[in-house]
Amino acid sequence: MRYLSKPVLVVGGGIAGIQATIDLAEQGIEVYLVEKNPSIGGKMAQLDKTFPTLDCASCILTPKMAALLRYSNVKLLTYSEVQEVRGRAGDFTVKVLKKPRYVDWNKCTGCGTCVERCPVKVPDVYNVNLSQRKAIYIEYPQAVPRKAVIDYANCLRLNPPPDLREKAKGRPLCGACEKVCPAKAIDYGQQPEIIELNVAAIILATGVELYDARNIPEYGYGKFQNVYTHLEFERLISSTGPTNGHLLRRSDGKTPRKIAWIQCVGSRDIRFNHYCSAFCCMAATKQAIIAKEHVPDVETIIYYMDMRAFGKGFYEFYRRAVTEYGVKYVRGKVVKITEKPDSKNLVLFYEDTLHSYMMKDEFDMVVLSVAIRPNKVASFPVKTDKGGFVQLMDPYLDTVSTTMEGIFVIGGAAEARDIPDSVVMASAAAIKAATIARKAELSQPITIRGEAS
Amino acid sequence: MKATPYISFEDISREIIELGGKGIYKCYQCGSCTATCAIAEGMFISFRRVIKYAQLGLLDKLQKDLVPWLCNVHGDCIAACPRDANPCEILAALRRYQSTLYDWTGLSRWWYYSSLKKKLLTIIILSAISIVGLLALFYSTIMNYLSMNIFVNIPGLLPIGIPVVLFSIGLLISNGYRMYKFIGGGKDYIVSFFDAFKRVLSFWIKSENEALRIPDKRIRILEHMLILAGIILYIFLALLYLVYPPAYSSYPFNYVLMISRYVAALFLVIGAGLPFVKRLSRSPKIHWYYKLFRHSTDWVGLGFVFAIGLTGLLMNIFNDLHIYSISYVLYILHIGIVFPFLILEVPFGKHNHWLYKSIANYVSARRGLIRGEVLE
Repeated sequence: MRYLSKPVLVVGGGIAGIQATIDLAEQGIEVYLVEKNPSIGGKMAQLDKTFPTLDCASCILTPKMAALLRYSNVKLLTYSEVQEVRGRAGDFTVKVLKKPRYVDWNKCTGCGTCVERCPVKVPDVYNVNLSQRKAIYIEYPQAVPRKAVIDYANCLRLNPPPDLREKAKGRPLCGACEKVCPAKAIDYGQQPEIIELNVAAIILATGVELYDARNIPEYGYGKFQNVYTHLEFERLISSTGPTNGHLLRRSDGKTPRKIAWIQCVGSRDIRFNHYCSAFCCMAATKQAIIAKEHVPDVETIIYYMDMRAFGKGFYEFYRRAVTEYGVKYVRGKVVKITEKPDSKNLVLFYEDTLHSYMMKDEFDMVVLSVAIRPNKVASFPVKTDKGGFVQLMDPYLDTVSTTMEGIFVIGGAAEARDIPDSVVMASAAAIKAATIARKAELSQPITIRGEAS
Repeated sequence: MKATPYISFEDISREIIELGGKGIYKCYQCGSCTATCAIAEGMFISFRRVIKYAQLGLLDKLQKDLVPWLCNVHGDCIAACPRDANPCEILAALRRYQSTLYDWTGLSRWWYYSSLKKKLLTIIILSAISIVGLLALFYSTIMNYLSMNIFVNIPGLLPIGIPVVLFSIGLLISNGYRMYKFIGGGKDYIVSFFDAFKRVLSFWIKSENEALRIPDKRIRILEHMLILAGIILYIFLALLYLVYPPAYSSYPFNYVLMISRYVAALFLVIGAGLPFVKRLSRSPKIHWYYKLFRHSTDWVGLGFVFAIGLTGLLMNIFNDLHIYSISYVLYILHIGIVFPFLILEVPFGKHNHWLYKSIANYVSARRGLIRGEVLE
């Protein structure tokens, strides 16, 4: 089938990348979707519900993920990373490293038998290290593509630790997954592949990662067991999470009676990240409401500096939390957390700025709304600003284009924002990329602004 | 007390910036500073609110607020501020600003806003007036003593010196009374006098003890204590010398007093000299306290103490070496420095903080602002 355009590359399979891919594929354009994790879905797949409507995140994401597989002009390159970009708008040469899954894509059915038999357990990044997964794994139940992948670094067969390797004397240590796979899909001999693509435009949807709260020792994250980040809390309340959706705290497995959310941890702070992370005020409100739904008599208090309710329906959502669910809000930045050694409860130090004196409060569980940081885009010839986000062409009239013509940026990679705004950006970038792709195919002139050598 | 008119917030903020509070526009009122403050932990106060008053230009609220005088400059707030606004410096600027508000003569305002050069010029002029006056009145007496090769204090100095001291202290106390009225002293008292006294003492001892345990904070507390001890000892010795000189020649007190004279002078020289050196140092390892902004009143206030201590020390040395001509010169120089100190610095300069702090602590304790039990 001949497409009336050159292909387009979308880097990153989060909600923004998925939306851009769908919009491009609908027009008949060939799209390569590169994702560094074994499955697409991104941060949204780790959420339980979304604000302001409290829709289930997976329920609105997975149909889009599944739709991608139906398009014959979408080539999914998961567990792959972009190494190098050369060229100009209309004619980019991209080198993509396909990391070996050690599982034959065409044979694997995603049944999960290999996962049951694998003897190695490692922390599960999908559950933010709150639970464990095996060395061969499927990222999460709704993964697209639902194919197993072997984690090279932790597999006993592929990468045995030196002391065990001596004892085995050359014989393979393990082969459990190969033995039990009903489709005979395991292939330990797979090699990394470098694929060269020639695309007309690139859409960056590389997304964000959480700032490490261990950099702020005053909050005791990592030392105190009952201090969580908001993503960890999101996994706790998810029914696919480590506690199957039961709100239980780490230290003693009991249900907390009093939970605090601390806003602006590492955000709006020139010592860490100067920018505002935008979504966490609403995310904390959402999590407090969900906590109330799970445990009706839990006391939830959110400690904020400003309540940023910037989108449609956000202010009403915040008022709903106050009036309907009884979530309490205290204006004051928490500066320090100490732990009570016997009960492992936490004491928060803050100034109640509306009463103008300093207070201390005790809680069973504390959730830190940590800042988000953009993922690294070093292999792309784009400029980044002070916070690490990709610099936009024009802050008013063109917020999807970068300084390099033909490369667009959407979602969290451009600035901290929420799901609705990311999806809008994705559709905007899709049409701009499609224009360049068609012009390149029909050899029409494209204005060139910048060239990557 | 007339009600002060509202002036625009830009005027007050500009003056605070001139007095050293550069970060006043950066503050977004998060409250981190008050939350880390050891003083705020023990009292129902908030200095974040005072910074807001200054940002909004609420002059009458600034006049009434005693919170800036409760600060002991521990410096925890500087590291806690997410905007790098340096609340410690803003609070110091607010203290300087409030000193200019409490003073009824207007001289404090003139003193705080004049440049360092103008200040030094004023000091030199006042010093010259006092030295010329001293020589005009007592030249023959001094020459008499010198010819007899003895050092005695000038007897006629006492009836002139005491009124000057009383005038200076009186001015200071009148400003202190005005402050007391502004902050609403005498109203809303819920704690008895003795109870308040006990609470303030125990709170101060506890919070300064905690600060002393941190090596970072220890050194400047000790320096301040040196200056304080030196000044108190100096006042005691000077009064004794003026009122009952025979104490200095009777055994065994003469040895005790001789040692005390040197001790007082050394305390002042070291206590005031060390900060001078450290404040001027450009080394990166210097303690954060010495890198804080210093207003010209701070330099002058410290310089006075250092100069008084130095002239006193040298005077004693030359006395004990029996070189009385030089010791008389130093004595006259000493008086020449003490005179502007009493006239300018004590009522209008940085040195009035001891009175304002005491009044603020007393009033806040009697209002029950000191937390009785530890917050759990």
